[in-house]
Amino acid sequence: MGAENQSLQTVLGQFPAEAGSLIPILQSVQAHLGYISAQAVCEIAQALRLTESQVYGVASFYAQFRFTPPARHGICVCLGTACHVRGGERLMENLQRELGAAMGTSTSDGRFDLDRVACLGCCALSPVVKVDSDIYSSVTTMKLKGIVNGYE
Amino acid sequence: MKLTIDGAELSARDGSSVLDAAQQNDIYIPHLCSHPELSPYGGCRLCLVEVDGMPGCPPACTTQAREGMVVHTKTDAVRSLRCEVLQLMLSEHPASCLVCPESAECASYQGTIRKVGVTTGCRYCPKDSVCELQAAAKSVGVTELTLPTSYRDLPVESGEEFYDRDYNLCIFCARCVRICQEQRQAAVLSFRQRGHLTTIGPAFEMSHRDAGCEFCGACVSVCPTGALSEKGRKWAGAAERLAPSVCMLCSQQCDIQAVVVKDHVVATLPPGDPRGTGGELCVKGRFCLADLANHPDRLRVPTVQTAEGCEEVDWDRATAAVAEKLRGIPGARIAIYASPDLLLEDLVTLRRLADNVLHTDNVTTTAIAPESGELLSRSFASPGLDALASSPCIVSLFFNGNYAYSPTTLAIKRAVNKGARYFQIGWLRDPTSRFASRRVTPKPGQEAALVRDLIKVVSGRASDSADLADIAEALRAAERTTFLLGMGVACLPEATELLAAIDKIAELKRGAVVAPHPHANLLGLVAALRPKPREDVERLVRNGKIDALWIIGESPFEKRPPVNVVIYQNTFPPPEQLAADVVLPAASWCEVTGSLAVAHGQWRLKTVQAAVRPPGLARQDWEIFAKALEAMGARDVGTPSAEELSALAKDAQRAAAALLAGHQVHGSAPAPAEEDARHVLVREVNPHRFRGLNLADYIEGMARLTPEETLLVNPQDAAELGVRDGDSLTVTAGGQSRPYPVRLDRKVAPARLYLLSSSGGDMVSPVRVGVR
Repeated sequence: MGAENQSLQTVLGQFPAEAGSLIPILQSVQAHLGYISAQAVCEIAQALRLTESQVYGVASFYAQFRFTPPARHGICVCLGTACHVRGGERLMENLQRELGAAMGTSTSDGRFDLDRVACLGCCALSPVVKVDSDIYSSVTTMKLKGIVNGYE
Repeated sequence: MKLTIDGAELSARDGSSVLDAAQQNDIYIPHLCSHPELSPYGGCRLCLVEVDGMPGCPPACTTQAREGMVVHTKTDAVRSLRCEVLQLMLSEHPASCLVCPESAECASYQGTIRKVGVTTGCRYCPKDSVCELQAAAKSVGVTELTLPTSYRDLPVESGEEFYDRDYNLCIFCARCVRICQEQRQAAVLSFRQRGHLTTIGPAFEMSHRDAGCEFCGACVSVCPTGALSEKGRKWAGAAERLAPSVCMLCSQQCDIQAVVVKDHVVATLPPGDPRGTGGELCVKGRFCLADLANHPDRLRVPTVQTAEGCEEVDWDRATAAVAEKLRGIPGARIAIYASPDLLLEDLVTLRRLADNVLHTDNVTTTAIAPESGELLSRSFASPGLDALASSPCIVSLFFNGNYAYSPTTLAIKRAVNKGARYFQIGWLRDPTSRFASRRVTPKPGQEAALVRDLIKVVSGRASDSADLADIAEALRAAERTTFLLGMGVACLPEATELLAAIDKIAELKRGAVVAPHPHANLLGLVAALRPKPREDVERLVRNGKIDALWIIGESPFEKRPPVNVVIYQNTFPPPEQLAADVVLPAASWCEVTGSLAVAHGQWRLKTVQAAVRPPGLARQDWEIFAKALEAMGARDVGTPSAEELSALAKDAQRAAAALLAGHQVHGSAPAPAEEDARHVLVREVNPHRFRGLNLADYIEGMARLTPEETLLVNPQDAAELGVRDGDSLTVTAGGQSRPYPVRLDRKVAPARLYLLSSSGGDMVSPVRVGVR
């Protein structure tokens, strides 16, 4: 808690204390902490003289901000047109079942974040799954198990 | 300004929007998000119009009206657009009330002569027949749904105080979000997420209470649909009558209007358009008054204790019993306790009763504790809220604006928005905290020292300590400074010296001292009754010098003191252990007619008009006194005349001065501190009372917001102490221990324990306590 508070105060010190700084501060907090915690919302609100509701209202509007700590690894299943045609949807269903986490959430053990992405720009290799910064091409449900097991 | 709307040349006020211009000329353009107290929003897209020379169909509410503008509000294009917009809204908003094919016949079959209650017709929404969406749909002519429905199926949020939230009925007009932000400046509500996932509420899953909601009800008033509804009158239907009245729950005496249905006050609203105003009421004026009047425990019939037990009697027998019991008791052995929530007429009649028939001057009130007399006399002399709103610098000292004194907290917010500097010194966060340039939480036991330091610094007798530098600088720079004092100042050690010092800087700065207090007519009581100090009368009672007690609208004793006769006159039954001999049922706030003395400044009266009749045999207090006077042989007992009331003006000044002299405030000595104790217990006398009765005992919502004799603990402290909501903590101070239930509250500063205490008798300064 202490370390989190310290990095929050560092971030808040870098911006003028006015409502207009809200989005840059949120971005910076997320870069430092990986997510926007309840404490962060409280501290930001106090620093900018907003209410927590106002800060949270703005933050939750944007898809780029998350409110839960990031998991150790992030899995992104591409559901763009090409990947969709080649079975991306099935991969997603499979992963949700295997990991026991719905799309857009994390596994309870904090191992994986499960998300979708619209296109990774390598449609010829579809369907594509990205884990952290590793790209896996022509993934099948059989291959998927091996990929997932490679990350702890 | 002249413009043409639908072919007619009309004039409108400068600066009007097209929608305003149309409304000024009685032309109806359907609209839902637009609201007279809110800035234009353009969210609902229902007020679309065509304007010559402008592309598309702009919304009338956000389009500025201009000279010579030609506006069309009823063309086929706008009609079909509005229809489409409504269809989109209704695809998410359950609308059986609009499209039920049986609705025309249903009404005529709803009358039933069966002997048992049967449900006929649907009651699907608390706003049925007063719903603005319903009205808009009818005016646009929507009779069937053309789009597939996708209802959101959200759970109804009914677990919190005073109002229910059914966001399935929400149309996202943002009126609630905007009134909370723009007018009340609380910003508790905001839109969360976006698109079809949007919901309205505070951050995360926080409760409204934790998010700082004051429960002022402004959002409920302006909601055009059934999404927000008062628990208290959810199914009461439309108002039959709106009766102007006055809230009697504190010295601010806010104007209100009582919503009357079937001769019952079902709700109270701020003055003005009942659907259209956020107003300035606090939770008590908005949500508590109706419950107080309608409570099932209200006293309805006089009762007399006889050998056979408690007997219900009529007024003749009740007043005969009073006369009988008081007969032969000398005046010096009779004591009267009177409530500062009585009207002047009641108080003047009581004075007559005391002077002419009972011959007693042992008249007092519990409202003036030894500690608070000085503060109250300052309150009488203080200017009104205008002084606060126009002040360039405001310092609040131990003022608690939570769930009370809304006009005061709003005046501070407005002053800050106009550029005033505001400093808050105290133990609690309140609605004004966000507006403070700085908040100072005094160190445990250093409260008085901090005020003294501030005084020294401002008067130039000391160099600025780092802690007070900015406050001192602001005070020096400001042309005027207004001090807002809370009742907490009265219980500090050396309160007298501190108050005198604050007076001095206020004078130095040509400023003012403002001190709102929790009593509706305390100045009136002081003027009409010239009460004795409470402690003097209490001493007489304790020492067996009193034979008969007449308690009017107060509850000074939990247990029967050593007296022969107790007469109890109030709206609710007395405590059982008081064993009252005669109980007289009195009328409540909405059932009385008369006047209140305005709580501050020049002597002025404020008229109160009864909205409904009292229940059962209950009568207004002066009528009860008049009956008693007659029973005791007095003649020609009428209401006090206007001259009699205005003659009180000079008494008010004299009595207020006497009050000061009579209550030599010594301030309580600091209680012995516990060794190495880390927590400070802050005790405030519960100000949430009416006629001596704790609102929390009668109103469920208040029991949660302002629980009495419950420790409010900062969540961090609670985590360290390992306690949760509802657990118990034992507080030790000066060798005494007492367990209290615990409530977690983010408003309390760390290391403080906050307590609303039931009585002022044992008021102590903030004290370090041991905690287990």
